[in-house]
Amino acid sequence: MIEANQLRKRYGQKVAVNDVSFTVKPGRVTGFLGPNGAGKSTTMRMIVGLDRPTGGEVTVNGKRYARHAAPLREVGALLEAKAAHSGRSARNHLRALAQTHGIGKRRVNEVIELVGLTEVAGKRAGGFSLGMGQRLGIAAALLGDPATLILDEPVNGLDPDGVLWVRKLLKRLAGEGRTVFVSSHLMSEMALVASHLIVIGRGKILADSGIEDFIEHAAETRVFVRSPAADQFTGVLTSAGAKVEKADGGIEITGLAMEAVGDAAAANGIALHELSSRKASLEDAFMKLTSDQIEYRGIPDEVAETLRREEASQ
Amino acid sequence: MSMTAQPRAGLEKARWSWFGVLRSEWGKLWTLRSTYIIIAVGAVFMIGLSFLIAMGISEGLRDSGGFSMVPGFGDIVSPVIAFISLQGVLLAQFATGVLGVLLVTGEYSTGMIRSTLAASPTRIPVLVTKAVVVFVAAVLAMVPVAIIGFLVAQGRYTEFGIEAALTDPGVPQIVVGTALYTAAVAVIGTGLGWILRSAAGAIFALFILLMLLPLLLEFVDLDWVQTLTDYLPGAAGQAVYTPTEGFEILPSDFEADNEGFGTWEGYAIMWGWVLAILAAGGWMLMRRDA
Repeated sequence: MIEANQLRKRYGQKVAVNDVSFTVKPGRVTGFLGPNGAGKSTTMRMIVGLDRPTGGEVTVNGKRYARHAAPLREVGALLEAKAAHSGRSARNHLRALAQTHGIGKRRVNEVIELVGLTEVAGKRAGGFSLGMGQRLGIAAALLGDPATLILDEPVNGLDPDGVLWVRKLLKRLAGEGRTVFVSSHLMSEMALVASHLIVIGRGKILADSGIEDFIEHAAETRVFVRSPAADQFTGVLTSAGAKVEKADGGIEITGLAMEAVGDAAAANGIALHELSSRKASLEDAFMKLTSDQIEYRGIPDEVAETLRREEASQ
Repeated sequence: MSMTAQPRAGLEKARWSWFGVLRSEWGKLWTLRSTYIIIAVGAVFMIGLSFLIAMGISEGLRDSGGFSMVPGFGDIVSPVIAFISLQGVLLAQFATGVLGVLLVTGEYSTGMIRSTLAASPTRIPVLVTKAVVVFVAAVLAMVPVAIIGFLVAQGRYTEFGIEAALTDPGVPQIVVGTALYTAAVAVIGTGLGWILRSAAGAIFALFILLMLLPLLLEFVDLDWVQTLTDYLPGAAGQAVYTPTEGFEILPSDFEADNEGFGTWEGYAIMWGWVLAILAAGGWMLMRRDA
């Protein structure tokens, strides 16, 4: 259980995290979603005491991280891809961390095997690929068999196998009753792994809810229609107050429920070849929620939109 | 892929401890290739320079046909011979200093510091154990190096009958004192590393403190500045490897700068610097984000 209370971090003039309060509960994967620069990493670093909050407090299982008798048993954190000395082997890196808590060689070998680094454990971490570095970071996070895991962009740089493996691992860890807090700027990734979402933008919490609720509330569901009289129908729908766009050989309607669209067609004697609801994706919900929160404000819309797309497709 | 729904046997007893951090830091020092390279460089500095100085002296003695150039040189005492034999310390101190610097700044440049501080979030134990570890390592490495340097130099003195033996009164203290001095420099290196967090900056600061500052302050003809110069870590600290008497018969080149500090008095002053620099590093370590 992680509890942040009025947590605040200011770097010089810039407020990175702005009086944020939230609770991350055990037994589920909580996604921490936000565009780059929204304050995700800073918040996570404050949880394990690497950054000092400017104000407020964050506790893990009721205590500040540094106050625990065995910090590595409380929280395992993967915060940056490279948090190992490049000149030291993976095994020696993990052994050094384990020794601070009197954790033995057996556990070190166990986590090495678990993350699939057995073959290269004797090699210097400096030669590792980004993906191997991530695996080493995950091994370090798991060393103390912690009740809480904090992972900042854990799938960064992983190959498809690795991504799948991380998803399974996170779900299993949550299934074991652990608190799993995982950040990403990739909404699709969150949709697959998280059951609860905390959305942050410009240092503020924008949403804190179950993933289904989030999509339902944050984004409008669209109605898709194919009709031989699409042009005529567009006029009808627009005058009823809906927004209509051409899409995929038909039209996409926002602002009217599917039932209302069907009724309008019947009332005007318009034939429909398809009437379906298009469920909003997490992407849509996220975009809607953060569109005015992203740092791109103030630059032309089309440029901002391109940047957002690029970010989303990364 | 067996993972641990319940804590594994042994893991529920796992606790952070000072002893654990000490073991961790000790292991970290010896699992880096750079440690061995730096110690090897320190050995080359120490032994090589000692050898060259001894060669220069023996050549000079031979050219002047024995001791005629320096009256009374034949009566030189063993501790002074040992002191002259170990002048390589002036170079070797930078090797141990760099060892201390890199032990800290290497963590910052690679990102390791975040793992280190996440495992020891109270932070200060990391600073303290790194200082202890590098001090012990430098003493263990430099005592044998100083012994070898001493013995290599004696080979050049045998023909003049002035060579000293390791067991001569006062000699062991000079040899061990040399190692103790370089070890204190190593700890200063860690302190500067904590303050500056970059290898280049910390090594430069070390060089200023130990080399440039004493040289430049020589030119300031003010009594209080000269007094201050005597209290600089290098000048005060050299008391620990400098004989307190027996220099009168030497040419002025070899006159020690040691302004009359006793062996341990001077070393204690050096440790004042060590602790002050560590304290400054610790204060910054606690205040800054990692």
